[in-house]
Amino acid sequence: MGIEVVVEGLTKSFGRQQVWRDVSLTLPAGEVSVMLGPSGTGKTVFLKSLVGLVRPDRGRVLIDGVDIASCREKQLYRTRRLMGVMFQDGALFGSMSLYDNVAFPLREHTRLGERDVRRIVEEKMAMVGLAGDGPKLPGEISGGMRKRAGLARALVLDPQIILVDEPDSGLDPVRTAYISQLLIDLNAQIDATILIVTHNIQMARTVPDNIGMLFRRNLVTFGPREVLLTSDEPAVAQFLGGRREGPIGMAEEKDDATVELELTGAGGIGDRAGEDRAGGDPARIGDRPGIGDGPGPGDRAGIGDGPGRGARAGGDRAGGDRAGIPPQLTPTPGLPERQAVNRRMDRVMRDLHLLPRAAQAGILAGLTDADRARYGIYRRDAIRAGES
Amino acid sequence: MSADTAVPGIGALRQTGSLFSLAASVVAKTFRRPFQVRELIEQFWFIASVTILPTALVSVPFGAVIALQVGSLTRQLGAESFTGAASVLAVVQQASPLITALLVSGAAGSAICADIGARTVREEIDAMRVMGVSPVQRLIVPRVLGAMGVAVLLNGMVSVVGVMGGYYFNVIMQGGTPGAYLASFSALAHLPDLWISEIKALIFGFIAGVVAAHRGLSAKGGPKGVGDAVNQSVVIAFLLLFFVNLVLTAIYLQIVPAKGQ
Repeated sequence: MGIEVVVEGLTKSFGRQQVWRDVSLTLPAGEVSVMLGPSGTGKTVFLKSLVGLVRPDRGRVLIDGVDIASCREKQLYRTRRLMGVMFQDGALFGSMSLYDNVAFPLREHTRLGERDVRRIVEEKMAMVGLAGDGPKLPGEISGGMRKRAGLARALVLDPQIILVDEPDSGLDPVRTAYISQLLIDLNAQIDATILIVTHNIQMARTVPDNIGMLFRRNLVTFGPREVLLTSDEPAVAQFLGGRREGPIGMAEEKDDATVELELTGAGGIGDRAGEDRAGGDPARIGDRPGIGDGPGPGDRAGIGDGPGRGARAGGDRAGGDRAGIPPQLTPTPGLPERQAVNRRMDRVMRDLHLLPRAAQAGILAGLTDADRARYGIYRRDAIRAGES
Repeated sequence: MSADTAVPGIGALRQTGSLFSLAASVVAKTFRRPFQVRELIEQFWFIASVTILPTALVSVPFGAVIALQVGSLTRQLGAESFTGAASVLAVVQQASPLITALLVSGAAGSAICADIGARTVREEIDAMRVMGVSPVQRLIVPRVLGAMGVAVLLNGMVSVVGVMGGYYFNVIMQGGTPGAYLASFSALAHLPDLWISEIKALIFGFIAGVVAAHRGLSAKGGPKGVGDAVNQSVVIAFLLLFFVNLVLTAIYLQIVPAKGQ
């Protein structure tokens, strides 16, 4: 099982520019988490501080009992071997072929013979769809391929913690869907803790167990996916809706004055655009979950047994310009179930009373009959909670 | 980090500190297993291949200049029989290690710095760190050792070529006597002169390698940043080399008595 990552009071600035302050969260062991945020809010810096590439000004990052932010270099290097990191553009070694790149961690950290190395490398490269591309140099391939090769390299030592920086940027929607599925399948197979840093809303809706969002130098929220997906926080709602009106501006932040102006109703064009989207969105999102919604073990996915229920959860929300809580991706049929799903459900149900009401309703609406029996919840309760 | 702007000059101090800490960790990690033999051989070969020809070409005129200058000076003083001795001393002790160092840091150091700098801005170095591999041990140590080794060997070559150039110009151009030139070799020079020459070359190679690697590792901001890093690397290395040369020469003259005293 993966390792828990605990972040406490993390603060970082470059010169006078504060990136974020007082970020505290826990990436639950073995679960998939997503960190959202508009461009330039320090998502990558956050990821780098988790692996000790960026030393925070204050705060702790605890992994396996080691504080990454302040430990000695030797311990840092040892702890890093538990982690696999995929950088934004792959960060492959330009002088080595893809094969040697992927084999690099094996050759550095294990004493495997060349035959074993070849077997593992070819397996991982096939996993990311790069079988047969081994002899190519990083300069000769597309950005998407570099990214996937970077992922293969991050996976080669079977890490307990996988950190992925913008797996979708520069990839077409189909490949992004495949990468999403790959990450979920990986989690099912090796039960690693996964953190994905992205601003892809589709990925954030369907992949993670937990979602957080960084905005204006703060962690807006971090918690079970239902919390952020049903959040009424203006920045979150704007981001998930992909709209222009709201606190997020073209530059890092809009002037507060602009926000004032919009709130008083001056943004006529913006409103219309918002309505257009409201019409178009649910259909688009409703269609997508088909990818991971296969028969068999896939059906277990708690919230995710069919578009009908997802739509209903969405309908509960006032304003309903988003599709509410879409079903989560499930592992490809034939793979083991994700252990994280049950663990997370236990945790979420235990802390249910602490969550916002909209999130509670979404969670309850998504329970299967088996779940209800397991947690002793009757359908009537669920409906009442949903209506209130 | 906000201290950057608080005290003037603290940035320079910080850079100096990190340069020294890199130097220390290069020394420490030289003895850490696994040793990167393959990388060392590749780097050694690379550094040698970019420095041998320019060094040889520089050392001929340099030896000649010294021979001509010393030759005319000794003639004025009426000490023509010591021409050979003086020029050997100058070439072996001063000119040879400096030429070697300038070419190792100018030709090989700039290449090392550009290579490491490009890897840094492309996040390859970060990726390596994250994979639990120390870039200092994996990349820097072999390069620094390569620079040191090549510097020592080149120093021998420069000494020979420089002395031969001096001989040619003194004997053929200035009409000096071959016998006197050769016989006076050992009049002033003795074995410790050769040793200090090689020790200097070794230290200069180390400095050239470490400075190049340090600037490369701290490159940032894309291709322009790499260019700036290479520029700084060459300038800083040259400044350091001449300063360290002064210190080493002063120490040597103090602790090793001149021949005949």
